Amino acid sequence: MSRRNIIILLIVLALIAIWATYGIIEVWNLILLEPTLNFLILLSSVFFGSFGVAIIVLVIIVRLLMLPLSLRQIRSTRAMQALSPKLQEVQKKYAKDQQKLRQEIAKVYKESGVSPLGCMWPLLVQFPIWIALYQSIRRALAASPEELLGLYQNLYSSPIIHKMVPLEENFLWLNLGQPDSWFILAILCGGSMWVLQKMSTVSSPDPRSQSMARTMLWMMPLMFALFTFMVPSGLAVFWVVSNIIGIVTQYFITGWGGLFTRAPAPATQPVKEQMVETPEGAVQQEKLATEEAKAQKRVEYAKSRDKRKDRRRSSRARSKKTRRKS
Amino acid sequence: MKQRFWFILALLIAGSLLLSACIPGGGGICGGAAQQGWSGPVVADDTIYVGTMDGEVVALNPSSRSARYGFPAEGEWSFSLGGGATGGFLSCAAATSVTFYGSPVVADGVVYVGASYGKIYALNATAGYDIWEYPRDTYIGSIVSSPVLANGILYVGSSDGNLYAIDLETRRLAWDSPFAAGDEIWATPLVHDGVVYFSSLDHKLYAVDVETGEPVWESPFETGGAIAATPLIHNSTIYIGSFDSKLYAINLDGTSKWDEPFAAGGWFWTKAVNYGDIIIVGSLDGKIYALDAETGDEVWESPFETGGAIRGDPALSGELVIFGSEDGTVYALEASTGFERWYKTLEPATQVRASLYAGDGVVYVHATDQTIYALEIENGTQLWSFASGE
Repeated sequence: MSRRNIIILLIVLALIAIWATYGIIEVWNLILLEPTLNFLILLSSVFFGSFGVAIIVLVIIVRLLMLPLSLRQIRSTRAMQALSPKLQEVQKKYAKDQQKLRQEIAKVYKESGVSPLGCMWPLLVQFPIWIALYQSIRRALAASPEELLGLYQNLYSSPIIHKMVPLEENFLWLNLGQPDSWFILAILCGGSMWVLQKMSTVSSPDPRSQSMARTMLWMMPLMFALFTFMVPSGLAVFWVVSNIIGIVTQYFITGWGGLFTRAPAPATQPVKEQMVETPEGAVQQEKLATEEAKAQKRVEYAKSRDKRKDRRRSSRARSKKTRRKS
Repeated sequence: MKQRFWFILALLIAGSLLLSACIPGGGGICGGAAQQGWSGPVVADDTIYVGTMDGEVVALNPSSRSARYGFPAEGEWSFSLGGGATGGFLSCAAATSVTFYGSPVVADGVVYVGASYGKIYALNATAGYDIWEYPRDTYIGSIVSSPVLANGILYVGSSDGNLYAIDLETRRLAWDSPFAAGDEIWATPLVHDGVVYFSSLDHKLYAVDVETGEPVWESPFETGGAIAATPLIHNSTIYIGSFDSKLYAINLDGTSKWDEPFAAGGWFWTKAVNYGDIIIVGSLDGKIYALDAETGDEVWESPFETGGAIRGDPALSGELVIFGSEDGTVYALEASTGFERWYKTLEPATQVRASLYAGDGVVYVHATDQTIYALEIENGTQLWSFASGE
């Protein structure tokens, strides 16, 4: 087992032990919820009591702190997508031999230096943070007496924080504790999510992937737009701001991406011909070539890293032999 | 690709769980606790009146309850306002549900109670039917306190930030318009010598003339936190606690009496009571404090500690002061010394948030398990209990 895996295992075991001792809720509150909640209220006091501004600022701060993870996730996703043609070839070639198929797929990943979980684990790390932020916003709003009583239990004993409670619910045209009755947030939320997804989706030759991408492109924005009718508008503000920052981040990495292209054509035509059809396709082709070059570099680096490891192992084995002889 | 599909599906399920109650720390799309209410019982003419957590006002006969007759027995009734506690998945709005936070007020054969969805009801105390409601065709903000009756006027605060003075004869506003505070009014007002005193979540205590609805002080008394407690007036001094964890003593002219307010370890949400010149008050830090009315110095050896926050108003009976705590226990203390006379732990996993009522040797407690308990004041023995919904 590698050193990294041992460290990860130890961290997981430690977390399990803490949870078993103190309870998952206590640990969750202590590590994530309460710091986020109290910081949010403190931000309100900094921004003249405006809870709406505090939400926006906190989302920006959290997004900036998680930028390295977000960038890593985007790059991993794109690297995975660049491997897609090779994986399809392997799948066609070894469709009838599952064991060989798995071996060959693992080989492709290893040679390219891309981990299939590479695009997932940054997301998994960010997920609890977003849940904590979501919970903090909801708890801070404390619309009912029971909620205010519950909020008290999560506050630090700072006069500045206690002075802010209950928080100012009005922000622009919104009552942050109630759904937006003008539906403006629903449109902003759904629209911004659609733009973000369109920018980050890269066409794939696999028809099933295309179909799924098309479905997700509309389903997620519609789903969140629907949620904004049901949740306090403070949460909807959080989603909108988060999407906008996501758009800005994506733009700096990939440009407008697939935003101004049509949905990917069915994979009856070769991918490169599809790319040439549109003016933006030239940009995409260039980017694809860049990605392929990067993927090639990663393969070469992975090979040289393996060679170095082999050399170290054999030199350690030789020195052990020498010591035994002496 | 299949992996990707299942991953996205898992994300969607996780997203749904996120927006439901199934995440650490609880809370769903609407987060926080469901609205249950915490109406305290009140006794008039040998009948107990209380608003239940499932949207009913009930009248209970203590003898029938003690004999465990089926409900409703003779002299008992329930009046349903529809709906009950809300909360849970995809149900942020409480527009169609109702519960009660304040205790009813009974006078001249009428029960007055404020409902959480923003209406005040006047019910016939004997038969339980609806006499009138205010406002008739619409709603005001959520009512989170008890109304107060003085000289034919019913005063009630609302979450819309207004104090309403309703003339019982005309059933209309006694003033030209309700008195507007700076934020929601969650505390029960207090009427004393022609002035109605009430607090607001805008951190202020107001004094308003009962006849005109005009402020009596130049400016309201401001504290360092929101105020949801009812004031106590003793010897021309107003005692009131705030969410800045301080208890203030204020002269009737709106100036501060003590050099420094008394600082506890948690918010004050409950009304103080006085035993002679001892001011006794509970805090959300779980402690009960006893202070000298003149100086604000602590009188007991040390504050009495319970296992949970103290949210409901206590009851005084003779030399005992009785508190309910969120640890689900009712404590009876000697008011002069703070020594515990007895304690009674109610059903497991329940809390006491409602105000207590004591009279005729019995203390009535409405716990969060939606049960009304009757305990003997002398020793805390449980005489009977009534679960609403029976």
